[in-house]
Amino acid sequence: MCFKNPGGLSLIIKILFSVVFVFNFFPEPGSAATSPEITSILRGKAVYERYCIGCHGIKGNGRGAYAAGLNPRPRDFTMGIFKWTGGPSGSLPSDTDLLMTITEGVHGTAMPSWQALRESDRIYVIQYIKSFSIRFKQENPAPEIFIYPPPPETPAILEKGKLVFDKMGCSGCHGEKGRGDGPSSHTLTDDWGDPILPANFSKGVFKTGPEIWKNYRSVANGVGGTPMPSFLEQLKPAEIWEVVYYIRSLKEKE
Amino acid sequence: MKFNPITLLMAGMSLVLFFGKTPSSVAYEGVTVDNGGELYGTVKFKGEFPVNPIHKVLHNPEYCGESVEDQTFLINSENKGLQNVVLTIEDIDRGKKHDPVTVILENFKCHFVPHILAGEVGDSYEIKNSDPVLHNTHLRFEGATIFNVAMPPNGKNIIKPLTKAGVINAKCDAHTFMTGAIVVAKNPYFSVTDKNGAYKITDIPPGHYKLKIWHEGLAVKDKEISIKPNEKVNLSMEVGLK
Repeated sequence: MCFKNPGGLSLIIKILFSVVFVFNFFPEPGSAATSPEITSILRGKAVYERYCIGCHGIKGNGRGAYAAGLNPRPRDFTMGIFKWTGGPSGSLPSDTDLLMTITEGVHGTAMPSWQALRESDRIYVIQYIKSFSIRFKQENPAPEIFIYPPPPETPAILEKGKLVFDKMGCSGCHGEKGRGDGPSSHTLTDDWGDPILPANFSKGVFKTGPEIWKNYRSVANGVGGTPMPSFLEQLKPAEIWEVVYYIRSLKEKE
Repeated sequence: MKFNPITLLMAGMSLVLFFGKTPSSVAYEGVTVDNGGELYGTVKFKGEFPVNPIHKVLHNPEYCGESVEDQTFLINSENKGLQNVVLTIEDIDRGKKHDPVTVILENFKCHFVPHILAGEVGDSYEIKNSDPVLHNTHLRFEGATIFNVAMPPNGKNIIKPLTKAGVINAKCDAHTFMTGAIVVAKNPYFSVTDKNGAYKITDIPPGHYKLKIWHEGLAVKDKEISIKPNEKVNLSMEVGLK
């Protein structure tokens, strides 16, 4: 090797590097990686490592130190699969969807409400959580489905809801009385191959909390990564409300 | 010559960043192929036939039957032909034209029919339920849910596009023995073996290629193939568990 002028070549390499670097990290407007976003990811990392790492793990794979004893297991963020999305089955969750889960927690599980954290920290940590899965770089969340306002609860609606429940075959998993004990209930697995049980309506506790519109969303969009399918294209909005009122009426008195 | 380490690092990163951005797959281009060759043959099962597990039906036995035989290995007992082997020639970027079609994935008598469906990127698939019971079609790509749709009796058919090459696994969670797959090819050079294990791929531009051989229960090595203009090549093979 006997270049007379290595300095010149170095200069070319440096210029080339700068050009390529700028193209990669400061891409055209509208694409994902802009510098404020990198800042939020770094802030989110700090929040994550303080509060989330124990269960969700340093790599975001749901294998934190306390994960082993938990059922359901903490979410593995690397797959980019989330239970509740505003968009139809298979859609990524929006930041709003994730914020809702973090703020309210997942009822009846080890995931607490993080309402006590500053909202800005919850938003930052979402940016960091999204960085665990390549899906968020490749796709955008689908637009939220429209949720029609609930009709008033009447005895007639509950009767119609039972018809929808029977016609759709909900009892196959959820059981005749909605106790989560249908004939298929013990054969079900999630995207990680872990056994998963259908919701037990007799307890009157839903993972999504008390709001009725979230039951509508679960029936319409299904529950991501689980056996619960989407009924969006199979039921009319009125029928979804009917079956939602019906499953809520299955709560048994203690 | 000497470069300082920072310069070398920059050079290296430039290469990675630049080539990292380049799309790895080229879109397929349909052209007229007038001197194309043909690849055909049969795939036979070698060795003792595996016994398909029998699944007990827990839900809807009144319709699906008390038990259902697994469909992984469908072997013709007379000629040993193995059904549902998917053969693809992936490394053709320019070749015969293919008009997009809609392939059907039917829920029928508590099975996915066909058990193995094949299509091409750009095609669509239509899910339908012909049974009087609720099924759900839960599709996963590399283990992650693509979507999961309820298929009640007399429900709507669901039509979706095939966007990415690879294997989409199908499962009905209501009847967990109901499994199947959609194999999505990059180009129209694919074929699924029939009940005699026979396949045929036509209009192959002359050249050397790699033939990928996929079966849900087997790992089969790729084969090198060579196609001359207008030539018909018989490539029959035996595959087995070992």
